[in-house]
Amino acid sequence: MASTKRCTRTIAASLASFALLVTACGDDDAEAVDAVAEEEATATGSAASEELPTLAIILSGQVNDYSWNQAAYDGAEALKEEGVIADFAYQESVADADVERATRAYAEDGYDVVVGHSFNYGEAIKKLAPDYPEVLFAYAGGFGDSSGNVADYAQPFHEAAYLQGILTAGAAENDIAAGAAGFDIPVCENMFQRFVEGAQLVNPDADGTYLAVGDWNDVQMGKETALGQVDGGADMFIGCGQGPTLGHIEAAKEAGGYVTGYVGDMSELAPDVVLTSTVWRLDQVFREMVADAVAGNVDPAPYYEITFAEGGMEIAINPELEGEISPEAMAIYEEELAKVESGELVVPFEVSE
Amino acid sequence: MDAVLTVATLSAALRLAVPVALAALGGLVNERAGVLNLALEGMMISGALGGYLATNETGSPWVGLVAGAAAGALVGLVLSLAVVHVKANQMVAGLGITLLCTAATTYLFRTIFGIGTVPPRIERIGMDALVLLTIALFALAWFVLTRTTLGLALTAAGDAPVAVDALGYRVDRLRTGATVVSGVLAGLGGAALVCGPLGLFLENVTHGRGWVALALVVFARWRPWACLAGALLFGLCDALQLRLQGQATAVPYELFLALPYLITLAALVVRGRASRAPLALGEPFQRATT
Amino acid sequence: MTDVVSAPPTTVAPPPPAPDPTPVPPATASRRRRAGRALGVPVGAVVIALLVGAIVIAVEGHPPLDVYRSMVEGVTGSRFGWRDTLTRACPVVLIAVGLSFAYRARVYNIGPEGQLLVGATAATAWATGPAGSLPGPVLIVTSIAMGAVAGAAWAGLAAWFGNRFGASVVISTLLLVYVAEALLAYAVRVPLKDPAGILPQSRVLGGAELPVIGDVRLHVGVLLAAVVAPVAWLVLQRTRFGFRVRAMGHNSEALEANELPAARIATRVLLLSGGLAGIAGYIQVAGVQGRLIQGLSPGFGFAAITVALVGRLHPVGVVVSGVLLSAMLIGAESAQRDFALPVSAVSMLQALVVVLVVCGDALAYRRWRT
Repeated sequence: MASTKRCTRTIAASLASFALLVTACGDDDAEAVDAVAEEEATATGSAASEELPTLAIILSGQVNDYSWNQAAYDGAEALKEEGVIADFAYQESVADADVERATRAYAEDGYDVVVGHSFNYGEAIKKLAPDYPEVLFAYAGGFGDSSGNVADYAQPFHEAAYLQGILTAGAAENDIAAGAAGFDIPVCENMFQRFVEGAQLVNPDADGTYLAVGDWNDVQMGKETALGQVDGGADMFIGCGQGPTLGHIEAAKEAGGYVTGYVGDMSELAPDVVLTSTVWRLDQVFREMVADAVAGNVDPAPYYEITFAEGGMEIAINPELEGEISPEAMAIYEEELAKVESGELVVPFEVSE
Repeated sequence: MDAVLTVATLSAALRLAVPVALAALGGLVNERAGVLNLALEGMMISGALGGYLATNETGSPWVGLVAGAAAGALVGLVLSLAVVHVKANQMVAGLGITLLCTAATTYLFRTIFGIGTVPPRIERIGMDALVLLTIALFALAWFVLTRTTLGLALTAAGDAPVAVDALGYRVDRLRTGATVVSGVLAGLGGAALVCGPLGLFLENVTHGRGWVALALVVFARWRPWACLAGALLFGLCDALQLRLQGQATAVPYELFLALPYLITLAALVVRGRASRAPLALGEPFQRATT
Repeated sequence: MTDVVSAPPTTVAPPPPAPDPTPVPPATASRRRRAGRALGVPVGAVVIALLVGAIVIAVEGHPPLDVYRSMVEGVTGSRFGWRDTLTRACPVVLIAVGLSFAYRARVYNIGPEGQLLVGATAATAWATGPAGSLPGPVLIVTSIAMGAVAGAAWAGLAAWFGNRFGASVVISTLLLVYVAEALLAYAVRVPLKDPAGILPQSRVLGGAELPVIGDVRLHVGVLLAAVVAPVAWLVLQRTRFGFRVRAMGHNSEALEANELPAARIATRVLLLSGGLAGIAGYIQVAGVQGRLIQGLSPGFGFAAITVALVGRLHPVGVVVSGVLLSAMLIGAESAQRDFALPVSAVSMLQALVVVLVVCGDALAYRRWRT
């Protein structure tokens, strides 16, 4: 029974030290509260004087993913640097089940615009939005699903993909595309289809396969998916999701071919294989949202459809590989780019039933 | 349909199998000694980060492998402290350590490389070398487990710890050793992924491969060669499903995604009757006090 | 722990008597001492984790006390903090109650995540399909039943594999999680997809959504969990079934000699834990998400394993550990928002608490010295 006693003593000791700690914390707390109160006073004071709006973004992954989430972070950062917003806050790796909390917390804290940057966040945000009629909410549905004070914003990846298909076919030999998505969703499928159609302007025989990796972030499976397609001759990679695209980079390093960077400029990641990248200018999207929130135009919220022509999306061509693109393809690209930018050509978004 | 069973498919299967096989071997050694290891995934991710950082620092992926093994061993030491010495519940301790490692590796990686910078790509080892290393380790494990007194004592520690204790072996020491070796192997598995096919580290880069390894141990009935075969079968299923998906577009692709797991289940069902787990698996050893 | 990996009890020599999952303190230990241990360990674990956390936070360049205050305020400081805590704990507690039966009987179902997903899928199929026109209460009750039946069936599959073919329950339940994920992905992409949108998600549940209470709109699923836990305790303590479950954990051989085939009990606890997981899945869809989506569960089924074991497989302990771990998460999220802490730093502390609690438990209840 000696051990039992010793245990009890240990616990008593730990409880005692805990009690001490709590009281100690209590003292510090009092001071800290004052300090924070002062800080808050100054913070609100300065914000009020400048009257700049604030933006909160909720991310489904880590903020440093070189891709989808970082695009949102970079967009917000750009607005902050320009002085369009006073500040922005973000919460990362928010599961779909937890998004209601994060959104509500930002709304309660008085953020003017709260963006849930995932297509799975919609329903949860729509349910709480009526509680905060003065706040502009948004989620990444991408199909005009705005309602009440919840906005949707377009993801014109398919427009960029169409043009990237032209460029990639101008560099690749086989002109067979390897498309991959985490799971099969319309945005991804449209990216792939338009990419192939773009490639067909250069080479009418251009073709390809489009597969689901089964995960948005598993790089090894992404790579193996791509290598499987390489067996079929694929040498143009178009990925949808971070895992598939990073997998493409690894596959292309081994087997050759040209990779399309997803959402962010990925040429820095792999200068030897990333030919073009899609750069999503979310600062443009957020800018309009913030402007509407300041003007009080939050209900009914518009569909923020900032197309390629309007600067919502850009194509970054890797300068180190630009020379690989044939002049003919470049000419077709310039031509189609002009058509898209002028609005003469609307790259279609199709939903198969 | 084109032939899907090509050399390319087989080599894809190997690439997918090696990291899982190494981790499964680690789990096997551990379970043979009577310790259930739910920290395999945590050991793998720690090995992956260790391997990445060391390779990045020294430029040699072989140093990376060693560092990965060392990182895994460290996790093994922590696990053995918790489950062998403190005798904590093996399931919760293992799960908790996996959670801890997943979070800690993500945190460290981000603290070291920050936001918005591109972490460097590291030198990689060819797949041939990794496959040979894996086979060598399996052979070694098979030899030690079945042909040496140490191996027999280890297995007995998982089956009849009281008897082993009576023979003068220290059960807890055997189990600690097995847990550290398990960490070495699983850490090596993680490092093999990062220093082999990938050449980069990402948050949660091992992506649940440790759990698959755990299933393979049972699938293999705690025998090393069967374990290697199981890992190959699993890798082959994955490699095949990716190739079949593109050809059989009429079948929902989700079925192909589930295929490796369905086949493992089927194999488990077919082989189930014959399985025999270490009898004292999961039981902390306690000497009768006098 | 033996049948974690071995064939089910019917096919394998029963394990040697193992330490009781809820260790019985020596007769001399007073009630107070017991309470001290029950509280001391988790409190000590949290204190140590907070001290370690303070170092991490300081390294990150934030004042630790401010961060911790933000954590506390995240739970107690807002109108929604306590509701969020209960809502987040609800599915985990429901599952963990079921698991505490299974684990007491030494049937290690580690795949409640899969049972949750299948339950949610089946209940949604029912609620948005054939039952859509039923009146509200009937619709909700039948949907809950549908979730329970589907979740139980998924776990029952593992029971069948085990009893009929001798496949390990641990591994088959785990593998079935991956199969359930694929099933859900297919369900929201094709048969259950909302035709009005392009996203892979079901229609809104509409009339099948759970009623909410109060101005903070707490969904009634939380009440269900609050009722299930004490009922489970009664069942465990006062019924023959509960007795058999406990007996099986101690000595399945004796149970079989006097009572009932252990395989039958194994099947029943699997059905029970799977059924509760299925209900948790429906509650998450109907109370929180409003639609069936792929990312329906951030690992509730896996979190429940920890909650069940930290709660010492006691239905009331499970409620306490479930709510506390949930509160920690809610608080940590708040701190993360206020100070832009990396989410990984926060997860690290949570994992540390789990490891420390389980080690502390083992130390506090150690009745032997070598």
